[in-house]
Amino acid sequence: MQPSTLDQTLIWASIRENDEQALYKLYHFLYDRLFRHGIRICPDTELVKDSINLLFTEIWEKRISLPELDNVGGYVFIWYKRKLYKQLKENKARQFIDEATILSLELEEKSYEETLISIENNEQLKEKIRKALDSLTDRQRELIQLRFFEDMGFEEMATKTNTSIRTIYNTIHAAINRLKIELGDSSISVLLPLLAIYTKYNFIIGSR
Amino acid sequence: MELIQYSTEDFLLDDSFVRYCLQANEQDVQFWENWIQQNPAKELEIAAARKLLFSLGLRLSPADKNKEFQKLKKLIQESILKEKSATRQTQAVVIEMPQRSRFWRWSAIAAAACLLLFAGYALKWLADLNGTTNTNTVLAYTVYSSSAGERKTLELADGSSVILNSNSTLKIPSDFNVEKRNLQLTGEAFFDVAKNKEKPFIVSSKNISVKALGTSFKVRSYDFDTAMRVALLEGKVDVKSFANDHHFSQLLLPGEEAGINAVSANIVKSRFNISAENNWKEDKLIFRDASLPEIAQQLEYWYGLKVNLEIANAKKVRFNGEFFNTDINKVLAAITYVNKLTYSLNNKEITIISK
Repeated sequence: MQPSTLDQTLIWASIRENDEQALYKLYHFLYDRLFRHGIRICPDTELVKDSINLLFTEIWEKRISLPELDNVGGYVFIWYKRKLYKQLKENKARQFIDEATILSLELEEKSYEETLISIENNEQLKEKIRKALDSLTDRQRELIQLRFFEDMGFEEMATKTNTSIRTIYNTIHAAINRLKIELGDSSISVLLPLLAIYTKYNFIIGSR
Repeated sequence: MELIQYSTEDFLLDDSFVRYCLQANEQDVQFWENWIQQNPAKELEIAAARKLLFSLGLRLSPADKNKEFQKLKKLIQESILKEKSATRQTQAVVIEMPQRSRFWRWSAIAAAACLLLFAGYALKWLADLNGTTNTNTVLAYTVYSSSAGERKTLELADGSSVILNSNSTLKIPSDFNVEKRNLQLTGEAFFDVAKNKEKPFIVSSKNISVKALGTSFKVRSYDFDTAMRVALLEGKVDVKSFANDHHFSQLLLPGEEAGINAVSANIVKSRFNISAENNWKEDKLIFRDASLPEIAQQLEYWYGLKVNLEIANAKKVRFNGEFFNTDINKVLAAITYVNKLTYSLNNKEITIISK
């Protein structure tokens, strides 16, 4: 489904030639990665979302003068980093925080687990998520990250961790079970502001 | 393990389910939308699995992402609008320059043109906005059903045509032919697909999905029958079937059919009789020296209804007959009358009874 590197170069060329749909294709292709990168730097999801949209608006406005590229993903990524940094700076400026603080604090990429905790606003829930993650074994945490964050398939995980697919399957199964118990049904729903997933789901059930 | 026994954990460990949630594969999406609809009892497990998948993956949900995408589209449209009005203004200036005496007339015309153009873009922009909100909020279906013995011919928005066989249902989502062409079938239908490489044509039913580009093919998937069938008359189709944690896929060439088991998802490829299929298309039902079991088999195939035989002793029947575009009751009456039998017919089955 995802366009290969070659396609990306073509898409880039199309954007330079005024093709609006090509811009949207690139957007869908890169969105998840940009978003994940963004929230690892800055836990404010609204700011991260806005800056991605501003980035693509800027790409469109500058389309005529864009350079020819081979590594489109890398180029856009760096552009995004600068954009996010600038926005953070503007935000902080309003809150009277000096530049040194921004540099030291904000541009650090958090670990996977830290990010999961940091994007939650509610202190009690933060604590709950921290506890849930702590209750997992190191291996369980590693596999959860590989499966859900790095999007690895079972075979890839098996090779990387030198374990059998069966063991991986069972370990993740147990880990999810653990998380379910620790977080409880109610708090899973607030782990991220994800209530909107229901919209699509409800129509499926409701349209019977 | 059967899908119906899946826990939240099992769903999250199923690659096909994950691809569905991430909308990474059209056929997985079709399959799971279908499955979820048919198994509402799994609502809680599936909702929990989806939530965990997006949370642990640090991703936006598709709905939230779509909201962002709509915002971006609006921003881009605004930017395009701004650019256009800017170029219009410079053109108006160029026109006014050489003929100073006619300055007022020209500028009036230019201003009117500007206004018209602007109104045009604004309208288009509004229309785009409307269009996108419609397709992305609620997805409604148009449902076509045929009763026992009834056959329907449908023309679809993309120019494709469908013959919906007796006792069948076809669901057409309201966004059909917008970006994709997905249909859900129960029963049997023949599809004559209009070519469009950009929008694959996908028919899904139970645990199978059939993907075509521009072709004609027939899908059979009745609830009473665990044997499903996809027959290809022209072009090329890709048949996918799903079971537990694995799936099969088979490419068909013209004249080939795939028999699929609804439980095991196994696909068996073989050749079929094209002239028999053409007879079906022309609604020509033919019996040649047919015994009762053969008649039952033929009727079951033709009408998509279970056929029961309640025959006292080993009654010898040899039936010959051709029916063209004939009402089901007339067909059954003709078969039973000459053989001194009776029949009963409802929306699920045909029963042939000895007097």
